[in-house]
Parts: sequence; structure tokens; C-alpha cells
Amino acid sequence: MKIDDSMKKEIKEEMEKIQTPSSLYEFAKNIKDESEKRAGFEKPIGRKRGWRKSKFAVAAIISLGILTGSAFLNPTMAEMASKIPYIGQIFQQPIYEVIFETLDKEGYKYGGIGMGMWDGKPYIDIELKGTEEYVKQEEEKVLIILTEVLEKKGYDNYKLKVSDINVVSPVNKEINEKREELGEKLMSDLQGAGYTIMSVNALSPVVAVYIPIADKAKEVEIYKAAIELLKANDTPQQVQVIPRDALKEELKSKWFMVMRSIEEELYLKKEYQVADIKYSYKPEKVSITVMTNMEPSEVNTEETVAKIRKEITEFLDSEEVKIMTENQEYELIVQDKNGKDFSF
Amino acid sequence: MDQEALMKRIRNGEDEAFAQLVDPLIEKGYRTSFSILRSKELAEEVVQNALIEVYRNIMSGKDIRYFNTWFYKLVSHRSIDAWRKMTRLKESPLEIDVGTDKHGVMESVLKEETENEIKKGISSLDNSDYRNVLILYYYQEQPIQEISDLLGLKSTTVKSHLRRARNALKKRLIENQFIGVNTQ
Repeated sequence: MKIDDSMKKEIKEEMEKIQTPSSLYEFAKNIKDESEKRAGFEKPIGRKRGWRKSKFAVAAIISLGILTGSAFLNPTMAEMASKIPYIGQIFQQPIYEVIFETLDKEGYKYGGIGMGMWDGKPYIDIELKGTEEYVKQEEEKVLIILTEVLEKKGYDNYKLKVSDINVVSPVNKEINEKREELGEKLMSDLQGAGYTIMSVNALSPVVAVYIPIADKAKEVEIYKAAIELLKANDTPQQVQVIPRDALKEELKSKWFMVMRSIEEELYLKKEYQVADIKYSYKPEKVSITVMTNMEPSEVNTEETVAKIRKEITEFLDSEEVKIMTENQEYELIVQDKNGKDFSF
Repeated sequence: MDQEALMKRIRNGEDEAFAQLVDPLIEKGYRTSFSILRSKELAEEVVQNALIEVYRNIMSGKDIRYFNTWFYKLVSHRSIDAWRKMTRLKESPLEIDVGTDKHGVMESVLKEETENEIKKGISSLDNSDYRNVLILYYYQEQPIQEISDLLGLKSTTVKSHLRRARNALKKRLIENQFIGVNTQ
């Protein structure tokens, strides 16, 4: 056997020992939803480019959106935000609100909070306003204050980071403004051409054009029209036309704050060992899949799984949540690290 | 069903065709990414992002001729990007498993090369580059020129990494044979 063949064989054998997570196949199955999610909420540029845009991150961005009047959300959500009960007895408010309040109290000016997953761990990035020197000087103090706040909430599974917003913001701002303008123009041009457009998001490299699912047959036509309009405006971009199911969107909106609450509790506590949480929204049933990093054979697994189930079920079965989800039927699946449902 | 037809079905809104198209490629893609990044979470994230990129490219009507090659190249590129970022951040240092008795070929070649470098009193060899060259050349079967472009190395460097790996393996095979003969 030639040495190249031996090398190839040995490397192949080594590679075959690597187990592929089954979640990737699930991801491929749900590609449309996954792609839509990211098209809608991805931050176009900046330091958090490498963050995993998990639903947790999405939720945090949407949550911030509620406060700042984001165009993506149902207007009643802001009102809902103040009424929602939170999972467990421990926390009363979403963590970003608690952090904002603490920063306000301490007299800090902030730009926002980025939340996401990095290397399998929740990551909270507080963007302070001020010069780089100022933020560096205050960083330690802010970290100490916020760590204490998070500890009081019982959270022990996160990385906290303070960054200054001035370094990248002028560039970000300019690009975002241009992209927003581009989105607005494209939306009005497409509407002018007679199409029903729900919204246009030009903040990510691929411009997402949302249309009602009833117009799905016009998807390709709208796609071509959008490409032509962008070309005519000398702003060629990639375009994705996304039909949206209004019913499903409504269902998602109803469940949004509920899910956010579950995510915060499960992700930010080590004991639950949660890797990811996925949902499927169907009018007959909403399905919640909690993917953990646990093996069925490990000592505390059964107990932890039972705790996860109890926390979520008690929360979802509470009167307040039932009113919010309109007594919607749901199913809860908890999975082991290989993507198999726990039998207990 | 051929890949062209699957892509057409995806563009027509048949989402299940996407899984049919990419499922046979996910394993090799993930293994490549994991070998470069040495992190399950990062590799999973990279492959997820690559899948989204694939989907969006298909939906935007991109003409993709050799889908498998294109997909693997995309995953390799994104993995190297993430790896660069990771090594810059130094958040997750590369782990080279030196604690076990039996090393895989890459580890043993790396170990040998590192020892040689130490003996010579130089430390120019970048182990991770070395590993990536081997994965891309022998597992992904990418041409030398593309590997050199992707890793930002001169093609002579890529060739020399490969040559040294071959020599190290040859040496190991001879040693194993020698031990084999002696123990019989």
C-alpha cells in the first residue's frame, strides 16, 4: 500500500471515531424555520459575529425589541411583558431588565445587552456607553455588581462580559441605517408593484422579504422583482422570500414570553445541563424539546430530568400561563446528549 | 433522486428535500469541522451555519454544479474561519491528547514533528496548521493550491507539511513492523 493510501486510511479511521450529533439532522429537517429565525434577528456585523444564534439569543434580542418598539413584534407584547409570571418562585423579571435596573441605579449608561451561546455556555455581554478607557476602568466594578445580582437569582451558568459601545457603534450605526433605508425602500417598491409584503429585513447580508403564506405561489415572482429593484437601485443583494403563516406567527407570539421565561431559568442554571431548547408550533399542539448534556446512565440524571419536567409543567399549568396560551395543548420532551428521549 | 432535482424541489418549497440533499454529507462535514475546531459545540455551530448558508444559496437560485465538493469546501472554510477566531480569542486552546498510549496518526505525527523542532531548538511549526493540512488533504481531498489559499500558507509549506507527515508515518510503520518481527 502506498504511503498516501496508508495515511488516508489512518486518518479516515480516526475520523470515524467522531460521533455526529443527531441534532444536526433535526436542524436540516427544520431548515426553513432555522433560516427564517436567523434572517430576522441576526446582528449584521460586530464583535458577536461568532456567537451561536440560538433561540436564547434570539429571545434576548426580541425581548430588548419589546422595550425599544421593534417592528418584528406584535404590539400587545409590551403589555404582556409586564404581566407575565416567571418560572419558579425565584425570579420576577427577565434578567435583562434586572441588569438594566441595576445599571440605572449605579448610574451607568448602557447601549444594550447581547445574549447568546458561546462554546456551549450562555454569554451575557453588557455594552456600556463611554470611552474605551472609561469602560475598562469600570469593568471590574460592573462585573462584581452584576455577578452578585445574577447569583441572587440563583444563576450560576454564564459568562459575563463588559464591552464599550463606542468602538464599533459609528460604523455599525451607519451600516445599519443604510440597511434599514434599503429595507424600507424595497418594501415600498414591492408594495408599489402590487405585492402584499408583511415586512422586509435588510439588516443581515441576505435580505429577507416576508410575505403572507396565501401568496406563496408568487414567491419566485416576488423574488425576481426584489432582485431587479435592488439592482435598479444599485444595491445588489441576496434575497430570500419567506412566506409566513399568520396563524403560526400568532401562536409563536402567544408563547414567546412563556418560552423566554423557561429559557432563562434552564440555560442560566448549571444543574439542568441544558444544551438547547427547540419548539414546534402547530395549532393542535405546541411541542417543547429540551436537549440536555446528560447521559441516561449518569447518577443524577433521572432526578434532574424530573426536576426539569416539574418546573416546566408547573409553570405551564399555572393559571396565568394558561390564560396567556389560551389553554393550548403542549407536549414536553426531554432528551439526552445523543438526542434520544429520556424514558423516565 | 439527483441533487439538481432536490435543489429544484427545495426552491419549490419542499423543505423535506433539503434534508434528503444534505443528510448524506452532514457526517463528513461535522467530522471535518470537529477535527479542526476540537470542540463539539463550535463544530455543531459551524455546520448549522453552513447548512443555513447552503439553504439560502439554493433559495436565491445560485447555480451549484458539484454540490458535494461545494458543501465540504464551505464547511472547511467556515471551520477555518471559526478556528482563526478561536485561536485569536484563545478561549478554547487546542487540546492535543498526549495522555493516551495509542495516538492517532495525526497526533503521533504532530508529536514527532514538535519533538524534532524542540531538538533543533526552533519552534516555528504551527501544530494546528499542520493538523488542518492533513485533514483537508487526506480527508477532504482538497487540492494543495486550495489548502494553501484557505490556510494562508505558501503551497511549498503545505507540500512540506505533507512530506513530513508521510515521512513520519513511514518511520512509524517501519518501527511497528520491526517491533512486530521481534516479538514473534
